[in-house]
This record gives sequence, C-alpha cells and structure tokens, in this order.
Amino acid sequence: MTESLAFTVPLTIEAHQIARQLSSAQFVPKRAKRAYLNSLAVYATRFYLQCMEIESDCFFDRDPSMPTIEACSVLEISDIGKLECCPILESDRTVRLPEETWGDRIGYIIVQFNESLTHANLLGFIQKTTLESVPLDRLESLETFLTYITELEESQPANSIQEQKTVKLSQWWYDTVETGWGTLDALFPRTQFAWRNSPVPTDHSKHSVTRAKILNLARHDRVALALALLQLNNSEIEIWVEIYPLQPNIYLPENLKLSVLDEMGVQVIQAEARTTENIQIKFVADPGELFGVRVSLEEVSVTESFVV
Amino acid sequence: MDRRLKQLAIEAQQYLPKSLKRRLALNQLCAELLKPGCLTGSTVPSEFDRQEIYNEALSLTLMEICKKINNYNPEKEVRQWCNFIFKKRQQDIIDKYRKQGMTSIPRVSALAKSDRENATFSRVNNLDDLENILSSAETRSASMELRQLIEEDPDCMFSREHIRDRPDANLKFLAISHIWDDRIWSDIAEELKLPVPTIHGFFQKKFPPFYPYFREYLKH
Repeated sequence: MTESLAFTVPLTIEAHQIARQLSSAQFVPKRAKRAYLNSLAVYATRFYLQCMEIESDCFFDRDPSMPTIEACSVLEISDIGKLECCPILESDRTVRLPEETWGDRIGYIIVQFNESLTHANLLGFIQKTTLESVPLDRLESLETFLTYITELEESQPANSIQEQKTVKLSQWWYDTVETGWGTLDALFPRTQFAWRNSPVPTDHSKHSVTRAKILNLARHDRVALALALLQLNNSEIEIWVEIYPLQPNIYLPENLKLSVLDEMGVQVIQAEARTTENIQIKFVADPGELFGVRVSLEEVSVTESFVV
Repeated sequence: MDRRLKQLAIEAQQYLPKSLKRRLALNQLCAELLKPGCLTGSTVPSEFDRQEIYNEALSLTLMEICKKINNYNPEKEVRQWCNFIFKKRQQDIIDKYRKQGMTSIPRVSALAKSDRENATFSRVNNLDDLENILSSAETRSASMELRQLIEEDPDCMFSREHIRDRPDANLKFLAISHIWDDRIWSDIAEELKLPVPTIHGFFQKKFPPFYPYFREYLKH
C-alpha cells in the first residue's frame, strides 16, 4: 500500500497579497480572517490543479473587487463543477463543510496551513457529506481526487449540444468557415452534384453564400448537408437547407429525416425522404437567431447548431 | 531515491497529458522532490529573505517540472535536472528584485512579522493575531457603521426585502445574523424553520446589490 498521496504548495508574496486584498473587502474582522485563509486555500489548490493540468478558474481570475466570502473558497473546474477549498490548521481535528454547499459542490479539498503560513499542505479530499463537521480521518487521498476528476473529464459527452460548436453563419459572408464546411465546388466535383431542384443563386451573387458539409450517419451512408443563405432586402436572411446523397448513390436513404429545430431544440419543420434525390427546407430568420438542423435515420441522428 | 525519481519521471513522460497515470506520477514525483535535502539550490545573498526566495523559486520549479516533464532527459539524473531549474529560478527572482530596487523582501506573513519584531519566538496557536492585524481601527469602525445602518434600516430598505410570505426572514435579520453575529446558515435556517438553500440563495441574490451603496455610505 503506497503512502497517502499529498502535495505541498509554497505560499509566496503573491498568495498573501491576494489574500490580503480579499480579506480587506469583508465587513467584519472575524470574516476577514476567514476570507484570508480561504483565499490562501484556493490559491494553493489552484496551483496544484495547474500542475496536474486541470483547468480551473476562481474569484481572482475575475474581478476580485467585492467577492462574497463564499466566492473566496470556490474553484470552478472547467466544464465539471465547483470545488470547495477548506482551510484548516495543524491543531484542527475536524473540518467544517457548510450545509449551503452540499448541493452545489463536486467535492471538498482540505488544505492545512502551518503556523507561519509559509506552506499549504493539500491533505485530502471529501466527495460528499451530510455532516457539517467531518473528522479528518474520513479524508480520502489525493489519488482518489485525481481519479474522480479524471473520470468526470473523460465522461464529458462528445456530442452534447454545449460541446458542439455553434456555426456562426454571419461569418460565411466573409469567407470564414468552420472546419468541415466547404464550398460545393471544393467538396464535390461538379459532375456529381447539382442543385437541381432549387433556384438558389450560386456564390457569384453578392447576396448569397452556400456551404456544405459531409455528414456521417454511422453504419449508414454518408450524405451532404448544404446551407444556402440569401440576404433579403430588410435585415432578414432566407435560409435553404438541403440534403444530398453522395456518390455512388443517386437517392437518399429511405426514411431519412431532415428537421429544423428552434433554439430550445424543439422541432419546427420536418421533411422526410422517400426515393428522392434530395430534400430541402427553407425558412426566414433574423440575425442573431439560433436554430438547429437535425438529420436522422433510424436510430442515428446528427445535429448541427447555428446562429444567424 | 534517485532510482525512484527516475522511475516516476519516465513514467510521467510515457502517458498522455491529463491522463490519470501521468497525474499520479507527477504528484508522486513532486512529493519525493519536496522531501528534505532533495532540492538544494544555491545560497541566497544575506540581504534577501531566504524563505521567500526559496518559496518563489520552488513554486516556479514545481510548475515547470510538471508542465515540461517531457524535457527531462532520462540519461541524466532527475535531481540534477530539477536542481538546475531551481537554481536558475532563484537567480531570476533575485535579479527581478534587484531590478526593482529592493535589497530586501518585506516579510508578508502577518504572523511572521510579530516573530521578527520580538526577540523571542512567539508561537501562534490560533489565528486571532491575524484577525487583529487585518482589522485596523478604521475597518472596525466601518464595520460598526454598516451594522448601525442596517439596524436603523432607513425606509425599511433592508427589512422590506424578504422571502415570500415570511416578513421575518428579511435581509436585515439575515445580514445581521450571518455577517455581524457570524451565525452559520444551518443555524439561522433552523431558527426560521426554512430550508438552507432557500435563505442562502435569497441572501446571495439580494445582499450583494447593496455593496456599491455601502461603499458610498462609508465615504461620507
């Protein structure tokens, strides 16, 4: 059994300066002292996280001018959640985990300070509690903490809507396109592909732009999703959404569905393929509007998010 | 010990950044390096605060070891590589302070200051000293003024903010109890017979907007 993993952080002038600034913003002397220690605890934990290549952010990354005392002890781990940093002294035998944090934190890191406040020792970790006062022998090691955080990082869903980048359609007018999107000419040889059923102007027109992307539908065939933007006389944009089969197919897979979703993810328009060469939806939107396009076939679906 | 250090360094290099195995190896490596006698560094000129230079250099060194572990050459000894970085950082820091025109670094630890001023080493068992040092006469009086303002509650500006259907669970009561009387939320919640998240959430939302007003108030 390896000895329990710990980590010691040297506390520098910078750490103390931040703590001093924070504590001077408190209303009451006793709270000022607590804020000072909370701030040092956050500083030490943040240092540790940086060494472990875990991204985080805390009150002193943002505006430290008037944080609440609660803010002084929280480290927000990117995309995962809030970690509470709890300072204790060498003489303490228990640590206080306030009830108001129980529902809101992914865990608690316990940081012990030496008398002269020159070092912070990250003693351990508690994931969950239903007690305000926890004895130190209940602490789990940093190894448990690292395992827990790494698991949380790895379980981030790859296709969740927040993860997926929202395509900024306004950029298309300036020829800036996200990865995966290209002009029709770039993606498909002219012979294979033609906008047969739509009178959408080609890119030669100043007032329209068309881009396409190849979508993978898992074990089904790949298809091409194309979006054409047409600037109307007022500020509105007419949007054409089309799906095309890719060579060697002439027709789209049967029962392929194309839907347009509103910003809440609710389907507002739908079209379905039945021995068709392409399907098309068109609608009008205002700049700044958010919408989604979903292509689904049986159990597989791909959703792209856009902002006009 | 050197063998162990090498084993950990090589292990850390093998795994991908952000992987669990790499993190564990780096953590253990740092823990070993922090053992007494491991990292030595150079002597610091006497006009400088040895502890502070040491701490700053150590900080930079640990971070560099973790971020640049792939730069370690397995043909060399780990201690050699780390001490090299450590000594360089020490020098960088000394140069930095010299350039700033400082020949000595002020001790910032509020407690250590009292150590320095007295010939005898006064151990601090609790941090009341810190509390005293942080609160000057000025901040104490500001604190009392604000408390008074809230107690007086002109135009009921604080008491009129309250939880729905509970005029007793108002901002005046919560602020005095939580901030000035230093009562914990679970305690206050029990007295009011309301859930902790309710009163805590209410307070976090309604109290901070008064901060600019308090700042202005204290100016006059």
